[in-house]
Amino acid sequence: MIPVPSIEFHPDDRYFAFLRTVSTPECGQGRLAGIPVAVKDNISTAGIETTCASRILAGYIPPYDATVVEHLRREGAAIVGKTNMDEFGMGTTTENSAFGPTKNPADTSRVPGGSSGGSAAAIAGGLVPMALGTDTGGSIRCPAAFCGIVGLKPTYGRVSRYGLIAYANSLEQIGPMAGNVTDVNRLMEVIAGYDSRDSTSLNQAYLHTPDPEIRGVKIGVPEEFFGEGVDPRVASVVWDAISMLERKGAEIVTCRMPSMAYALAAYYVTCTCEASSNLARFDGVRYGDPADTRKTWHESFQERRREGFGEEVRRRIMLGTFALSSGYYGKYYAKAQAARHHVRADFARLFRDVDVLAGPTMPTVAFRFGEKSDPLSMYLSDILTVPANLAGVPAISVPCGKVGNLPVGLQITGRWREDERVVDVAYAYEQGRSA
Amino acid sequence: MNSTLRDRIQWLLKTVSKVHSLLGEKIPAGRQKGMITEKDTEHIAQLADIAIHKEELAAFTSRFNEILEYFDLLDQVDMVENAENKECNVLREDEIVPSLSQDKVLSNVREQEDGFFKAPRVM
Repeated sequence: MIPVPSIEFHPDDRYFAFLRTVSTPECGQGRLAGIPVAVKDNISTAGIETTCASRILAGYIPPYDATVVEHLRREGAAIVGKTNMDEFGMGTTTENSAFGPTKNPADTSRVPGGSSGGSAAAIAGGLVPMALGTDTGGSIRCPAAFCGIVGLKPTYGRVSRYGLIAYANSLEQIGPMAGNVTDVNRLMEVIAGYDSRDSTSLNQAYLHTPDPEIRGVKIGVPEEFFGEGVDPRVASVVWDAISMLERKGAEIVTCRMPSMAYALAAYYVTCTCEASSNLARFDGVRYGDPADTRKTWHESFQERRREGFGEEVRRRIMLGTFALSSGYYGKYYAKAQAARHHVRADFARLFRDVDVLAGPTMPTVAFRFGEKSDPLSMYLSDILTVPANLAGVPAISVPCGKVGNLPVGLQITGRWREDERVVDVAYAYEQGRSA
Repeated sequence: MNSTLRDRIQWLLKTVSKVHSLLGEKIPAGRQKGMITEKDTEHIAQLADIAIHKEELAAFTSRFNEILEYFDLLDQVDMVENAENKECNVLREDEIVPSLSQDKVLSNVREQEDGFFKAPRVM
């Protein structure tokens, strides 16, 4: 019998990356044998409390594993803990966690980004080599950029969402996060593939060896990716990265993406509408602190939900409820879906001429705690990441330098189903940089 | 105006606005651009089944208005025919597959009775 590999995991969690750790993690044989992997707290882990960083789910212990967690266990990975996040994934800083914010290992006076901030900080802080995150509008790529690690939002459907506690089904994907492109690729190989339990699953396996050859690759750079709100210091670091790819043999083409003008509004209408429906299930009947059964249905639920949800979650549920209410559907939801169509059409047009698009992942470096206290200005910081979710295309963030001591991410967006190619371009950049 | 008459008028107004929304999705008066009131916020909270306290109304309402004003950007979007998903449902055979046991399903319930979830009374 082959001995079970030992696990190296020391949870010295000074960044509050983990909501909880597993005291004696188990592992086995396989492609990830003995590797400690952290899992975002909105992904179901049988027997391990899963809360989405929300009080409403405190104490909830899933009776089953998400498909991605089954895959991790089957390949011998050690699930060492559940990472902090913005409550239900709603936020860009991890400050919206009901249990307190995570700190950015690059600068502890700043946020790690969000919503998968705990996963990114666990990797950047050296606690684990890889982690699972989820990305609804940038929630893998933003913290990857802010913490200086690599994060991939896969093509919609390539990774099963079975067991992911839903926030906005038509936008979100589970994806790999790690310290380098090779590990992101390794983790992606394990979690991707068809799953009959996810009705949006694509029948496309991911088995790939990253190829650093960049000669002949056409890279589009939409002007809008460097538009208003993008910190010139961030823009300059990202342009240097793009120039490096050009020196290595890539062809750079500037282009336009007009639908960026309303992509963010379309995104926030869509995700709040979906949230208002998805989060209706949290009523204190099947899990969590019980609803008061002596009161009437509505009284009891309304109180339970006011106590259990944080302010941002309540705001998004109410916004979505409003946007879907009688008289407003046409003004908001229908328009947002039309806008989404235009975003997809823009990508389709651009990808006829270029292989990938490049630009900054985030318009700025990591914020200070409390800097984005008004919701709209927080929403605006997602402008560069939401188009990939609206169109379902793959996008990766790879570290490409710093402004002061703060990491900057280069975002590579690819054609639908071409996750391998965005990984290759990120790998080419990473190899070129370390050469 | 007696209360019965007021109720009837309100009912009539509601019906009219419903018909409007079905016909042409007319935006109710008072919210062409930006503005919802604290009363609207209270109503939305009711619809969403989330209690809202009086002292929270002003802050929530002003945040909503900032965000909704931003959403007005969508007014410039050209509608496209069938922008909403063109895919149609693909049905599979209804095969029985293993699922969670009743014990497991009830494992997170704090209040249960005879193998059922205990919920608040409906009436």
